[in-house]
Order: sequence, then C-alpha cells, then structure tokens
Amino acid sequence: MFSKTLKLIFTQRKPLTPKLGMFFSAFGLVLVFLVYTALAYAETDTVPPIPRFPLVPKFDRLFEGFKLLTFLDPQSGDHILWSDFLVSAPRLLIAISSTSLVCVTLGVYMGLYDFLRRMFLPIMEVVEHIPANGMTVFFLALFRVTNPLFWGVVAFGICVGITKNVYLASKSVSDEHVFTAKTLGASSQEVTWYVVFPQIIPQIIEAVRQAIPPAIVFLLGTEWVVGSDGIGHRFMQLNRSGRTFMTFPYVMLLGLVGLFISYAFRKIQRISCPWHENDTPPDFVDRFLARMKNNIQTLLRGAHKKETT
Amino acid sequence: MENTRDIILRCETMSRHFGPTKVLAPLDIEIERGQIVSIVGSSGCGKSTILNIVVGSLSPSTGRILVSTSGEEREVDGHGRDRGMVYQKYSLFEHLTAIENVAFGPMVNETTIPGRMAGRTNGSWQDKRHEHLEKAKALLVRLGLGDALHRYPIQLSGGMAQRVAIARALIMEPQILLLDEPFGALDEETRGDARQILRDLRGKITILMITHSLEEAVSTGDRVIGLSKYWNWKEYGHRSFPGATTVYDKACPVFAHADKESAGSIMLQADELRAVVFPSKEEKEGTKESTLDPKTHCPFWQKPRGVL
Repeated sequence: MFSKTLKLIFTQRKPLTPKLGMFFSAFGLVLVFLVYTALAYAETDTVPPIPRFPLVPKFDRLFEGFKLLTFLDPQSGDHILWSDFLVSAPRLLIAISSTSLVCVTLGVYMGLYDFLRRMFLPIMEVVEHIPANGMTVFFLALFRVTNPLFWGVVAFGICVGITKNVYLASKSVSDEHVFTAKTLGASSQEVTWYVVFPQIIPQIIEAVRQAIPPAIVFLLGTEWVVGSDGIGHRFMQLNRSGRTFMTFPYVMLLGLVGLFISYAFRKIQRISCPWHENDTPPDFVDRFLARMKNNIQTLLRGAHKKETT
Repeated sequence: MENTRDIILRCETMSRHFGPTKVLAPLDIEIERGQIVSIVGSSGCGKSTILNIVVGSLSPSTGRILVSTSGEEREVDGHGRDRGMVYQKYSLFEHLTAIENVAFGPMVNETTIPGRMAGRTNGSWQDKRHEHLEKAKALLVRLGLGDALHRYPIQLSGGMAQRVAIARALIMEPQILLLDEPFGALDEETRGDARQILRDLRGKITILMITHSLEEAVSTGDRVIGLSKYWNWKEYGHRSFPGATTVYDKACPVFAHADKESAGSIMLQADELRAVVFPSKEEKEGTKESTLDPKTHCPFWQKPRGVL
C-alpha cells in the first residue's frame, strides 16, 4: 500500500488521488507555517533581541499588528488599511483600466495589420527590458507628485505585457476565420470586433489578470520612493520604524486581496466566455453566476417581447 | 457547343508562386454553372491555392479569375458573398452558438455596426436579429441540427460542426461554394450524410470540392480535376519547374450516366485517377522524370493550351 502510494507520487505526469492532492496542498501550507515559526523563535534565541520590534515577529505580535491595521489608529484617528486602500486602489484601477483599453485595442489590431506589428513590436522589445520604476524620475519631472505620475509608471510597466499577449492571441485567430467572415460579407471593422475580438476575450482577461501583480509592485514601489500617501508610502514608514509586526499582516492581506482578484477574474472569464474550455470544473460560484446571467437574459427577453407587443 | 455552355467561373492562365516556389503553372479552367467539381491531387500540388484564389483570399501571380454570378462576367478582386468557403476544420466562430454562426452572414450583410448599436436601445435591431435567427434555425433544422441550435462549436461533433459550416455558407445563397477537404475529419457514416447534402445541392449551386478520397471525388462530383507536380514540363519548353498543372479532367459516372451511380464505373475511374495523379516511387524520388502529358487525360472542359 505504502510502496504503491510512493510510486504514484513519484510517477511523472500522473495525477494524484483527490485525497493525496489535498494532503500535499495542506502540507505546503504547514511547511510555510513551520518555517515561519522556526524563524520567529530562532531569532529570539540567537540574535540579540530588539525589545520592541523583532524582525520576524511571533504570532501574538502579528495579531496585534493586524488589529492596529484594521481598527482605528489612536494617534491619527485614521483607519490605516482603509485610508491607504482609498488612495492606492483608485490609482491602480485607473492605471490598469486605461492601459488595458489602449493596449487591448492596439494588440487586437497588431494581430491583424502587419504595418502596426512592424511599427510597434521592435519598440516593445526594447521597452519591456526597461524597469518601470527606473522611469519614475521621467514621470516625476513630467507630472510632479500627482496621480498621473503613479498612473504613468504603472502604465509603462504593464503596457508591453498586455499588448504582446493580446497581439499573440489576435494573431492566433486563424486566417480561415477571417476569410470566412469576409466571404460572408463582414467589413474589416466587423472582422475585428465581431470575429477576432470576442474570440480572444478569455486571453484578454488573462492578460489583464497577469498584469495586476506587476502593476501593484510598480505602484507600491513608486509610492515608497516619491509618494506621500498610499500603501507603498505606508510600507516605507513601517519599514523605517522597523514595525515588521504590522508589515507582515499587511503583506498577507494584500496577498489575500490579490488571490480574490485573481479568482474574480477567473469567474468573469468563465461567465463571459461559456464557450471557452476550462481546466477546472465549475464550482458553486460559477453555478450561481450562470443562474443570475440566465435570469437577467430571460428578463431582458421578456421586456423586449412586452415592448414589441 | 462551346457557346451553349453556361460558364460561371473562368480561370485564365492563372498561376501562383510563393517567393521562388512555384506552386501552380498557368492554368485555364472553366466551370459550368451548377456543376460539382472534385479536385484531387497529392499534398502540396496547389489544390487549396486554387480555392483560395477563387474565393479571393489570394491573388494569382499571373492571369485572372472571372465569375459570372451577377449576370455579367467580372474579374475577382477580393472576397465576395457570391463565393462561400467551407474549410476542413470548419472554422466556426467559437464564441457563437450554431444558430448564431449561421445567422452571422445575414447580420453583417443586412445591418451596420452603428445600426446594431442604436438598435439595442430602440428594439429595431432585435426584430431584425429575430428574423435572421429564424432563417438560420430553418436551415439548421433542414440539415438535421434542430437539437443543436444553441450549442457552441466545442460541444458539436465533427459531422455536426461541418453541417453548421455548410449551413453558414448556404444561408448567404452563394453561387459558388468552395469546400476544402470538407469531409476530411469525419467518420465514414457522417461522410455519407455530408455527401448526400452536397448531392442535394447538385444543379442549384456550383461546388468546387477538394478531397483526398478518390472514390468520394468520383462518386460525388460531376467532374473531377486532378492536379500533379509530376508532368513532362520540359517538353513544353520550360527551363525550370513551372508548378503543378491539371493532368486529369474528366466527367464522372454520375454526370456521364444521367445520375445512375455505378459502383463499378466509380471504382474504374478512381483507379485511373490514382494512376494518373499520383506519382510513381521513382518520380517521387527524382530518379525518373515524368513523361505524363497533361493533354492525355484532359478531354473534358479544360483547355490544354493553359499549360503550354
């Protein structure tokens, strides 16, 4: 029995049983927990302790930090997490949405028109090797410390990734689809927006999803260096005062938010593209969203019928 | 005799090369209205190139294509709704259901983008849309797909997808239907059904069909054209290989015997076709030059002067 399980575990490309799969997922989490605990306790024993703020705080200190973040700050009267979020989230949202709008349009057209590919692809090959935070000085000179500075850095950092992914997706739509649409009488714009664009929506959603983590890094980096508010600026303050017991829960919360955004994007992809093949079976959220979508469609159809009669 | 033929498609000294690679030698082909023409040949002999030129996806390197689909003969310049195309891999739009795929043509033809956008608010678009979907539904039901109207292409079997692709082309009422290996991915039973769909269209629209099955070419078509890269081009004065040409062009049993299919005659013609169109092992390896004269097996419509 044991040798059989071992053989299954170490056989390449062989999927584990559901129970074994869950065991290894839980084991990964336990491993991280154990390493953290070991580091937290080892520091107290071996490194000369800094009485207030140890580098790797123990769990009681983490909990205290979490409380400080999520409840009102007694000194400023601010809700730290919420006030930071209200500053950084709009910056991120505006930068990602406007960049996506431009880059998706450009990427779709680059996959269809060779002159655009030749115009922009070489520039992108260069730009993608420039670290976005290195451009902070340029945007600082241009916009001073205003929101456009943050939008600019984030946009610079993610534009190539989104455009290239969308371009590749647009290019992968076969010539046969394009030619078929043309034989059916579609104009160039109809081929672009009724044939190519809808077919690559899953890849577009994925491209934007993949751009979010680097966008957060670029925003936080810029806020850290030049910002006077926002999550990055808060990190800089906490780091200066050595309050790792507050930084760690903050980072963990950011990770959870990232996980939620990623999950939400996958759900959007599934609900908006039911024709797209998915690796994972639908969960209860998918079923709920699908039911909602059907209900809305039925309602709209009913309203139209009523209007026509 | 020549004047009584109703020619719908005329290829005049049509050739095609891709860079230095010569694919098609100058060809003269005439297709009569309502015919089903099978095109056969080994891989890389330019069968798909001919269809792509006729549909307007490629332009010929020399010569021109003339179609008589709107009363008078005109030169092909790009795509047009008078010529429909169905590919081997169906090329259904993945994001549309079967019925939406079929209704796509009427949608783009009878409405405009601004009209569709404005119509979403005032309801006129929905009425037009309803009309298109009803038309598509009727066609799909006729092709036996009444149960699969709202399925996406990934939910359709190969045979179903192929029928949807044919319906999508037919809804536009093209005068010339081009089929690039339409039954290549189908099992034997489904192929039979699909062939029957084509036979039902005989005389109504002109069909050019590429196929790898010689028996299918002979049994479905009124006429079969065989292309080959192996022919006696040096004897025609060419210094270098000019590309593939038509080495076989004959009426098929169905056409020749007034719709009476004869298994024997089909097999005989398929064997003849096999011997002419496919090269011998020595010819393939280049150890022996082909002595095949294109004129020998082209007594039908094709004018042999095209290869000269």
